[in-house]
Amino acid sequence: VARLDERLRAELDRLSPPADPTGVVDRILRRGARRYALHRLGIVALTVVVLAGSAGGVVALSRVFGPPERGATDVSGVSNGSLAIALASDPVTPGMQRIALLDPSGGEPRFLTAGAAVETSLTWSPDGRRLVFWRGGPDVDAGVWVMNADGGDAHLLYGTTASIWAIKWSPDGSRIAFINVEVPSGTATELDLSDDLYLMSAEGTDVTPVITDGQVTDLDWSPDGSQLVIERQFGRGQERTERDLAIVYADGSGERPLTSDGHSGDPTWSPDGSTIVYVDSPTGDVHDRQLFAIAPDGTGRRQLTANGGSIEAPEFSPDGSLVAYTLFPHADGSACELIVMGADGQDARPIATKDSLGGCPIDLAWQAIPLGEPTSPSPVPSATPAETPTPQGGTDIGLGFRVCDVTSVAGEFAPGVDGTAFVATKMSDLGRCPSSVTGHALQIVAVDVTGDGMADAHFGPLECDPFCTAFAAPDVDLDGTDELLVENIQFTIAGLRLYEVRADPPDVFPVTVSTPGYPEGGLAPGLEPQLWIGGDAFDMDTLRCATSPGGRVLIQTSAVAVPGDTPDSVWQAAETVFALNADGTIAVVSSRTFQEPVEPGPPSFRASGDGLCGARLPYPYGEG
Amino acid sequence: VDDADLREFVRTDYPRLVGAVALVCGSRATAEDAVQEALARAWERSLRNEHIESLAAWVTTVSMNLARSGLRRLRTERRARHELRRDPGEFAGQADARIDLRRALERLPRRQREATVLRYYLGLDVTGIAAVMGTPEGTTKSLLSRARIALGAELGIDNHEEVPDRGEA
Repeated sequence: VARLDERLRAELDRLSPPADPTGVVDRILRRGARRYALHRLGIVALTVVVLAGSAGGVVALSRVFGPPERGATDVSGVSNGSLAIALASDPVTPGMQRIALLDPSGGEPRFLTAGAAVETSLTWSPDGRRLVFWRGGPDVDAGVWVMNADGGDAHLLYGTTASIWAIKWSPDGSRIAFINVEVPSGTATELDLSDDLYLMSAEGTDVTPVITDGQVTDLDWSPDGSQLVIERQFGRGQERTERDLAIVYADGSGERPLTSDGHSGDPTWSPDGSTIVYVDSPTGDVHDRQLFAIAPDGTGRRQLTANGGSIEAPEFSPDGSLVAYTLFPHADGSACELIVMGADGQDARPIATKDSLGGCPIDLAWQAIPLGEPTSPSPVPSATPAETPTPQGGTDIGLGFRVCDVTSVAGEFAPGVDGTAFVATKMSDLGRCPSSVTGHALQIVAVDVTGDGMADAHFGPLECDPFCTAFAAPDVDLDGTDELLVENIQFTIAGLRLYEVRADPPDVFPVTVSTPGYPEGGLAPGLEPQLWIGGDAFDMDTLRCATSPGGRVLIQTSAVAVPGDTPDSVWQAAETVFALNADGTIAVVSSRTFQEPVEPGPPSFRASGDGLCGARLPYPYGEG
Repeated sequence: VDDADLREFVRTDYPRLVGAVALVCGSRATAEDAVQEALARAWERSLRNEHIESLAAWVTTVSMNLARSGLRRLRTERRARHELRRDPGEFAGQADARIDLRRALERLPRRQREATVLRYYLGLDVTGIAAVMGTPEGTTKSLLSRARIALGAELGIDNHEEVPDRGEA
């Protein structure tokens, strides 16, 4: 029997041989130059923001929320300072992680480090003046580092090649506890790791192993510094499937279990000592992790959240009134929110998102400010809100609810009437304009068929990826009234959706493929036909109208120049011809592939004019 | 990112990165489109005087994200289907074992598939995978571990035997 790792490597190599890079550079340069030109025109501004957020870009957006109503209670002689957050991926340099400060009420993050390393496992000194963290990565003196609250005077406190997790400064400031993780070279399974609890002095000396059975994976101090709550992960088979909490004295002795359900972890001990908040899976599903609270003696367990997602990294505020945590609403980790809620689980408020931060917080540490001292440093308030409060309540286009982010095109949807088609975002019940960036925008298409400027019918929600706008109103079937094309922004390529508009009674609905369709080409009956227009000198999608014996048809051509920018390159094109039916469905009339030489001037499959079935197309797809 | 960086990346890293994205998304056409688009964006950033510290890490992350974009995937896959009708297909003629592996990969949840490919095809370590995927290292290790168990079961391979990383055998 072949060993799995060897076989995976060998067969993945054979399964997907490396690609041929011939001609790729020139194609990329052209694409890049086109993107740059479009960017300067602001055409792709929105989508650049989206990718910047999702891929760790440089444009940070922030949601604006009011300050938490809670948090005024002083139980420990401190007030709540900034949240230090470690991002899973640095917004400027993916692959690295760095540390930012965030005001607990939201706003823009203020980065403390340069993003040239992997930085995580944060802990504040009890006086809130210094931040300790683990730093690793190429060309970095790896180990436990310390810096001032403003990011200054960063220096190595304890150098080690081991990975260091869960660093926690003791409440009296004298010691630092951490998990020392030895990672044997070339191993991937969690049982190969050895996670041990260590203590050292706040000066980085006297490093002492405390629990060395290899299973301690997280910790927090009791507020009096006498005990630790620890997370233990237990192996089953080849993976660690279970984790539970236990409490030990600070010297590692006297361990007693706190939970035993097999999926409890990420503990944070309340400053008043009465409660430990931790992550548990009420259903046992790893993608359904909620916050629970329990007394240190194991009594009074209660569920605090029911978010429908997975929670990580809970952290009590220094005054004990709040808990911050990261929520991953989707199993694929594609989004996250940083949330602050009351310690009783009430009044949860998102203060930041993956997009506003440029990445997901994977570790949090809440700064304590001793009473009588000014809060410092103060993060810069958000200047570019992604969810904009709209005191005016958005726009009324006659739908019975208010909308925002309205785009529109003029069209003749009833004979002789100058109508309008809108694509807009439904406002939230709180009177906010949801951010398309965070995927919370509910978009609709609406039409004014009577010419009074108010919508008479609408359809939605649209499935936009990430955002739709009104594109053009062509008369696709040459019946004297217009249909509607909605653009699903896709950078230099416009993804288009076709909507049929009726005047009597007013109606707008998506056009779908009629039977039998063209399933082998991705056009099965009942599906909306996906149309594209745009591209570059090597990769082009065109949409044009033509007149056939049966009436007007819509021709979609998707072509790529092979082998790129060479004198003998040819367009390899796939063409699909559609005809709009009277019932609002669309028939696939024919489909073919063909080739033609790439020559100066437009190819044969590009529309001769700059419009589409008589409709004016927006720049850059038409002359504007 | 300057012209030389781009050419060097395309020469050395592009071929294998396309292979990796193709394994994750199941479409070579989508993979080529995604990686080229990611590189075009990197180039565009350089035109705007924006700095990318690690081109490889940036392009890997962006191209994996782009390959998730439904609309773009639909478009390139439709084109690929057209091309496949003229061509026996990118996976045609492969040995049964590789078809088994491809099917086993396809059955994995997306994130496990990504972690597997980043690990065993691109040779990234856990830290590197976590950085590309934007997941905590613990989560990354869990994903890898679950993927190995699932793949081992699908392929009928005893996965209790470990082998060292590349270059350490």
